[in-house]
Amino acid sequence: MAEIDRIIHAPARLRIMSTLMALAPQSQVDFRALGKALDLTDGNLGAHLQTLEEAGYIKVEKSFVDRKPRTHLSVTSKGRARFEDHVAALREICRV
Amino acid sequence: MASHQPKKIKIAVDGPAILCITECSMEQDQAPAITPEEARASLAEIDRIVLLTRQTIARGGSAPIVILWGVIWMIGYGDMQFFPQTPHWFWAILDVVGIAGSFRLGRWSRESPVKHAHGGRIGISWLILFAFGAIWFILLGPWSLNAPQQAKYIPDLDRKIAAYWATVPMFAYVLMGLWLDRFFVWLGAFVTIATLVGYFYITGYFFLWMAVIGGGSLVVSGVFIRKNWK
Repeated sequence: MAEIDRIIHAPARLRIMSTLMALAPQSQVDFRALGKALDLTDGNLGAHLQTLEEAGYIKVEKSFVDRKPRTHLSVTSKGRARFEDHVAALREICRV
Repeated sequence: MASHQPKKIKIAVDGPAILCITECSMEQDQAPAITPEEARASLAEIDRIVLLTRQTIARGGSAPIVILWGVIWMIGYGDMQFFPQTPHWFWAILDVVGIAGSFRLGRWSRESPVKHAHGGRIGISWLILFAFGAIWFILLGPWSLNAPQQAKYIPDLDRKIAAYWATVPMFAYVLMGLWLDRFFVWLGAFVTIATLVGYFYITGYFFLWMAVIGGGSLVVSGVFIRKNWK
C-alpha cells in the first residue's frame, strides 16, 4: 500500500518535487529559475532543497558557467519512486 | 489519529545534543493525517506545477521562431496572391531564411533554465514531422511533369501544395496542445478547417486567405506562448 511521504508532503517541497518530476529523467533545472518559478526566496528554497537532498530525493550539482556559479537540481531515482508512491497514496485517500 | 501532545525532539546543533520541547501536529515517525480534500488539493497542485513546467520547457525559444514563420507565411502566401508570376524558388529563399533564423533564435534561447538530458526533443519532433511531410511531398508530387502538363493534368497544384504544407504544422499543433495547452488544439483545428474552407470555397483569394489565417495564426500563437508560458 502506498504511503504519504512526510518530507514531500510539505507544500513547498511538493511543488519542488512536482517541478523536477515533470522533467525527463536526468534533466536538471537551474536553482534561480526554480525559485522564481515557485516564488520562493533563495534562503527558503535552499532550506527545502537541503531537506530533500539529505533524504536522497534530489541531486544538487554546482558548476561554473561563464565564470559564474550555477546550481542545477535533478531528482534521483529514489526521489522519483517516493514521489510516485506519495501521489499513489494521495489518490488512495481521494478514493476513500 | 495524530497526537497533539507536545513532543520532545532531539536536535543536534554542532555539538552535544540538546533537548527542546516543541508543538508537533503529528508524530515524527507517522505519516501525516490527510483528509480527502487535502489530498485532492495536493494532486491538483501537482498537476498545475507539472503543466507549468512542461510549458516552460516547450516554450524554450519557440515564441520568436513561431512568429518568424508566421511572418514568412504572410510574405510567401501574400506574394503568391498578388504576384503569381514570382518563381517558385522565392519560397525556397523564404524557407532558408526561416530555417537559418530558427537556428539563430534557438541559440539565443540557451538561457533556458532546464538542461535537457535528451536534448531538444521538441525541436527534433518538429524536424521529424517536416521530414515526414517532405518525404511524402517528394514521393507523391507530379515532379516528372513539366509546368504545362501539371497545369493540364493537376489543376490548382499550387493551392494543393499550399494547403498541404499549412495543415502539416497544424496537425502537430493539435497533438502538442493535447499535452501542453488546449489553446493549440483549437488553433490547429481552426486553421486546418479554415484552410479546407479556403481551398474549396475561396479559390480566387486562397493565398491571401492563407497569408492572413495561416501566417496570422502562427504570429498569434507565438505571442500567446510569449505572454502565457512563463
